[in-house]
Amino acid sequence: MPFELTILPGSGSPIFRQIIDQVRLAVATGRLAPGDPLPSVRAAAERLLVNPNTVAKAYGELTRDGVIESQPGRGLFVAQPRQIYTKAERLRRLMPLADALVHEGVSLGFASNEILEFLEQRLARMNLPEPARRKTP
Amino acid sequence: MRAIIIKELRENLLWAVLLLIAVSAAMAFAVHAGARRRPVLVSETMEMISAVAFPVAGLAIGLLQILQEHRGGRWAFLVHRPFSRRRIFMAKVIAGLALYGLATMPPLLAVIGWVATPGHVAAPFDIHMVLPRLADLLGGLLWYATGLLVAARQARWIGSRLMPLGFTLLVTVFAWVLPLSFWEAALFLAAGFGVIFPAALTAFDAGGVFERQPALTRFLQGLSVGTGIALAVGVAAAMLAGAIDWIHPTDDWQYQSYRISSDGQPVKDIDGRYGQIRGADVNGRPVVKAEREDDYISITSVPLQGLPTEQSDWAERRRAEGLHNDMAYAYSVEFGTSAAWYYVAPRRTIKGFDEVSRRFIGSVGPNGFAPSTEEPQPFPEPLVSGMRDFASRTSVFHIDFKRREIQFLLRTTSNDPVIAVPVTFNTGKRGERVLSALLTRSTIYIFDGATELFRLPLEHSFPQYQALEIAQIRDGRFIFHYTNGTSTDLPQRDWLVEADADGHIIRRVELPPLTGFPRHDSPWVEAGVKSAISPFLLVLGTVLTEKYNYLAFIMAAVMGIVSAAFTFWLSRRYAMGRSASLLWTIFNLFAGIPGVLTLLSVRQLPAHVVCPHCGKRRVVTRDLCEHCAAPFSMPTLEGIEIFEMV
Amino acid sequence: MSEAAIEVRGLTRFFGGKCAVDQASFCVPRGSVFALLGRNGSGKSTMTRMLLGLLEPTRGSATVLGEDCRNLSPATRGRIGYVAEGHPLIGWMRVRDLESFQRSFYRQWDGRLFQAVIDHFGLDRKAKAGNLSRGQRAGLSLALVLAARPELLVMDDPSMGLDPVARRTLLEAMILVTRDAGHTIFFTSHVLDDVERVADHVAILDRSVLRVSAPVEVFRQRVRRWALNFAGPAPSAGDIPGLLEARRDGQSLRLTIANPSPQTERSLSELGALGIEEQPLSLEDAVVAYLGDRGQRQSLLQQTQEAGVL
Repeated sequence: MPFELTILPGSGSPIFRQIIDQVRLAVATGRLAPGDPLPSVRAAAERLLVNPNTVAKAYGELTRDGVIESQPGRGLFVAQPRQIYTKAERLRRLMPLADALVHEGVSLGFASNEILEFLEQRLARMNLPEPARRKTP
Repeated sequence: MRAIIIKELRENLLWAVLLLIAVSAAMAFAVHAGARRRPVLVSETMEMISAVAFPVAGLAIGLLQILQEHRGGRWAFLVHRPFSRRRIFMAKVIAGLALYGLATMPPLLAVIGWVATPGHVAAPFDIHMVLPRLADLLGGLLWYATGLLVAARQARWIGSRLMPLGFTLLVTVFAWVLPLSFWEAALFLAAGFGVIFPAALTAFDAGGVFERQPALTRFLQGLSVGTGIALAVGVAAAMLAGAIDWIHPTDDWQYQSYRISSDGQPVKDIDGRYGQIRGADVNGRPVVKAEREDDYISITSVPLQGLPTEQSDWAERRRAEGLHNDMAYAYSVEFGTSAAWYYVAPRRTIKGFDEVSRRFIGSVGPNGFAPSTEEPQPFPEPLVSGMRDFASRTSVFHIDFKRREIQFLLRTTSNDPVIAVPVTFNTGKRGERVLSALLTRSTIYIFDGATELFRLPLEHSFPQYQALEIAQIRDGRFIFHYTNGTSTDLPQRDWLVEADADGHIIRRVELPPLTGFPRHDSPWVEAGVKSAISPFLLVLGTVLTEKYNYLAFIMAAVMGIVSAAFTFWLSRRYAMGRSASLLWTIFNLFAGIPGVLTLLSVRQLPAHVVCPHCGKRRVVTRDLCEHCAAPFSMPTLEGIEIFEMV
Repeated sequence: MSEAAIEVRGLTRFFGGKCAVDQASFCVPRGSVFALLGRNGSGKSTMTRMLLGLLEPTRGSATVLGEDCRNLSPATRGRIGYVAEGHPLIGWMRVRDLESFQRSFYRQWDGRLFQAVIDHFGLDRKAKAGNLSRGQRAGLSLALVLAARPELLVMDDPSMGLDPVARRTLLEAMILVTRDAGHTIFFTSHVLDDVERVADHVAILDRSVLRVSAPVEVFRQRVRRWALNFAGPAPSAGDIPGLLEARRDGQSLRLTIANPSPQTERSLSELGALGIEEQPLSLEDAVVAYLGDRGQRQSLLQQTQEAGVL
């Protein structure tokens, strides 16, 4: 099934952020593979019925973050994954969320193994492709 | 342009057709009502209808075309397009003229065609008769333009919105009443149009906003509104004056004249306010028997100014020939004998028409009757029709229409012209035989039918005496009473000549002069009314007529100064520009109350707020305070403002 | 070519003694989709009509496509499309009559676009404009205006009275205009979800005073909401600068604040709450908080609950 963007106005999250999050999620779950085309700014704007500048802004941030790339004369495509953050930076981004999960789980009365089980269930549900399943450090 | 014209035509076609039906019905009514005295096209009914129908049609179309655009958002839809508003207006006008023509011309042309075709009406048709109707048609165009102006200008209250109608009403009435020829009337109406139309154009162009229009048309608009206001103020002032006069009548005025009692005595008639007759003889002694109308013989009064068609005074002559004058076209001189006879003034012919077949029978000229197959013979000079006879400058004659014969009673020369319309007068009691009196400059002729009884010299003439009263009393004596009547312009004079039944003069008496008549208007009220309308007009009128009334001058000056002062105060309060302030103040020195009301009606009066710097009240329309030149302060910030211009 | 499609400087309008627009100044960049928001009667229509030269300003000035709004030339008017409040038309004309009427004025008429919009709103060419439904009239107005391909499209509450399908088509029409670079849209609306979709700039008229003029994202970043919960009954919010709205509900207090600064965070923590959590805010929520009565007030629901009214 081809990838479809959707947006929900009035949800509290700005539209451009919704677009960014959807694309990021799709790339992360493998829904969008590197090299897959993305609709042009105008096409996406007219499909979603939003201001093209909003789409342009989303695409702009995605491009800056290296998630997508523009190939001149051909359009927009999912970029090859490359880390633009250092490991330290990535850890710095992830750790607060891990802390929050752990604290909340403990204060709710869950045991460590239960928390780990939840995490594994969630990851399994994401159906990640093989390279994303296991990485040796 | 075409698109707008077509839109206008389609949009208003229904209204034009309704107006067409209404005008047609009115004209049909006028034709049907017929006319005894004057042919249909110039009859009284037709004049009234024409005077109302065309203005109403014009006004209605003008109003409709503009008012419809003010409904809902229609205005924005109409004017927001790549087409200037002036051109939109002109397109509307082109369509409007066509609609006006549709509503008015078919019935008018139909009526003209009807009466011009022989066999339809038993009356003459002359092309000149079309002229007054044409003038009324043109007048309707002025009302059309007024409708446009009334609808297009911004007005805060409905009274001021309608004021230009006053201007147009005045112009129309003057064009009617003044003795003008057709072209003069057309020019007069065109001048009115020249005031109203440009004002309407710029009012439309500016969306009604007065201050956005050029100075010239602002002046024209002010003129039209101001005239209407002056008219309204004048009417109100006159009504007020009348009310004051009625509540508080001024001195009982005396109306005095001489009348002739049934036994030939001149009686001084001292008439009070309510029609009582109190008699006194020449020496002032009361005459007891002279209290009822029956005690007096009926008098026929003949003016001595001269034939209407021969007046040396321009105004009088024009009055005879003016566009809307009833005598200027044709009027009936005899009817009831199964033939209607008319005098056609422009041609100076007398024509007869059969009442049944409505066809032209023939004419009576100086040489007698000519049948319809012959060309009618015109009289060499204009005629006036008297009670029984006809008169021109050099002849008096009688026409027997039954026998179709002309009988000349009198022929004279231009050195001794006929000066009055021939009159008839009763003898003794009413109903007995009737004699006629013909007057030339030198002589009075008394005729019985076609027979001259006697003649007497005319002892006095105009301007020493205004009129000659003639009567015959029971014992056969004739009384000739020269008098100036009750005119207050000429000195009071009365001269009595008595003659016996054969015309020999018995005596001549100069009657004692009657006492002057006090003015019955209160000077205060009259001066107040006039100065309310306009100090300027009051002063001008007083100077022109040379009747100086110091009270009126003073009141005019007071009104003028008060108005100018109030105007100046208004101009300061509303922060009008220097030149505007000055012009209005000077203008209202002369224009008075109507001027002040006009200012209030046309100019926008802005709101006031308190100046944050000097604390005084300042207008909201200017960037800088008119007192301290400080700008406005921005609205107070509440700390929640978010401004970022990218 | 000036940068801005519309530039407004101190525009003011009084009706009698009442001020409808108080010294508004803002700028509509060329190529933007600019939404003017405000409550009913706040002066939006007045502003729009002044910009188009249909209403004389009391004071101030504005430039539209480089020309003084008081004196728009016919040529410039030809580049501006205007849909007035209520989508006024000439009622007695049929759809095809209106097309040929409008067409005769604009050289750059796009008949196919007209037809496309007409079809989309389901209009019969023979129908009389006065007999159309609200939505159909809106569609016709839109078609008449769009077919002239205006550089600046001005619309006063175009979605008023429209059903959801018609509103959707209206949105499509607005996106259509953005296909042409440099073509600007200036509109007023109450449908804030649609404004969120399509506008990139927003201005807010708060009771005749313009208090916001910024890109939508800037506005959203500068209006934020926090939820605080307390051990006991929630206290009143006190004097926090930029407070737009405060809702108390038992032990929780919800504050919506404009232009928050580090000072704001300190003030919040001084209230002594157990927890402070920032909440996401849709554009609609932000605007409603902005335009509601300033300060602390109960909602209708809270007020009727406490008073015992069911």
